[in-house]
Amino acid sequence: MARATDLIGLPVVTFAGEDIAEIKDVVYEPAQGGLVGFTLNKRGFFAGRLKLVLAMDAVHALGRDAVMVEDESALVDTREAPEAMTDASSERNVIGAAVITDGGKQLGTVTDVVVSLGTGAEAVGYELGGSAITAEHGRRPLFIPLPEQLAVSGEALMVPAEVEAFVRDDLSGFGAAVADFRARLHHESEPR
Amino acid sequence: MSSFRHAHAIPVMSKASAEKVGQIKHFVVDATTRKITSAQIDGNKKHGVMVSWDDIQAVGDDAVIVESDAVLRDAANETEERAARGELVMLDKRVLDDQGDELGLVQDVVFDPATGEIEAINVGREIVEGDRLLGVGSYAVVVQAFRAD
Repeated sequence: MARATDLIGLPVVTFAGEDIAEIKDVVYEPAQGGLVGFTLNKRGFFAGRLKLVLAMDAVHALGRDAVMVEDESALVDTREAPEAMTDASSERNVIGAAVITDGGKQLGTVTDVVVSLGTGAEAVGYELGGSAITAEHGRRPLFIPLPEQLAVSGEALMVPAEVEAFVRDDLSGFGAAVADFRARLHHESEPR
Repeated sequence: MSSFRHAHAIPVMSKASAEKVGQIKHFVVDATTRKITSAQIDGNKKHGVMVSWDDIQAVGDDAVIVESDAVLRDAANETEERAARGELVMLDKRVLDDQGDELGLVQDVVFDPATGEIEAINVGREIVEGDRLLGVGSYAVVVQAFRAD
């Protein structure tokens, strides 16, 4: 588990051991709850924006120390990238949105997106700050699992009330909460 | 069994003249075959800086043996040119696994002196088997992540 912002600045490294770019920003699509990809900077002293982007399906794995790709062909021109990569309206507008349960309780505001690491990495939750709940926790951030489907507007995210039972205050134990939460959603959607 | 750390700076001797023709600086490794393809030699600017693995007759504890100084040559391809510039040195380079996690720095590389095959990479807290090697680049040595299966 890592925060999406922890990925910023990581090198993009090929299997051949070359660092071909570094992560400038994480492109996230809140309505589908997915990581779309990354915008990139050049590596080295003359670092500046790279005109190439890295789509999530070209990523081999997200790690603590590097974003791994098979080879240079993973980086594509902006014109060949998925539309969501270049659609400015979908870019990171989830940060600052209020999270409200369908029971009518505000859990906090989104301060970061939590992603799983490794191969098949994906967005799994949100880091929340600034609410009555975090005040109770000594103003430490809280983590909530990401529902597979949710309503999202520019100002708020609507989540099922069940999410409250899976709120965690440390990232290391959060993986289990995500798995439990997803298992429960699937269980409830099955016909009885 | 021999290792990069052990072989570093040992003399390269000519079998024909019994003279020292240089000393081992680095080995160039092909990550696809996981074998040493050539060695970079120090101290013989006149004849060149590379010797092909196939021209190395023996790698012993105290010397590397070649037929004569005629086998020394210049860098013959892009990989060797980059190696000659020191970009592909494995010793002390960071090791990343294919999951993007750093395992440590290369402490030593163990190889079979008969075949040049890379047998293991010592990363300090872990020994990575040679068949997990994926690439040797200017930024990192890349290996397959350990899978307990």
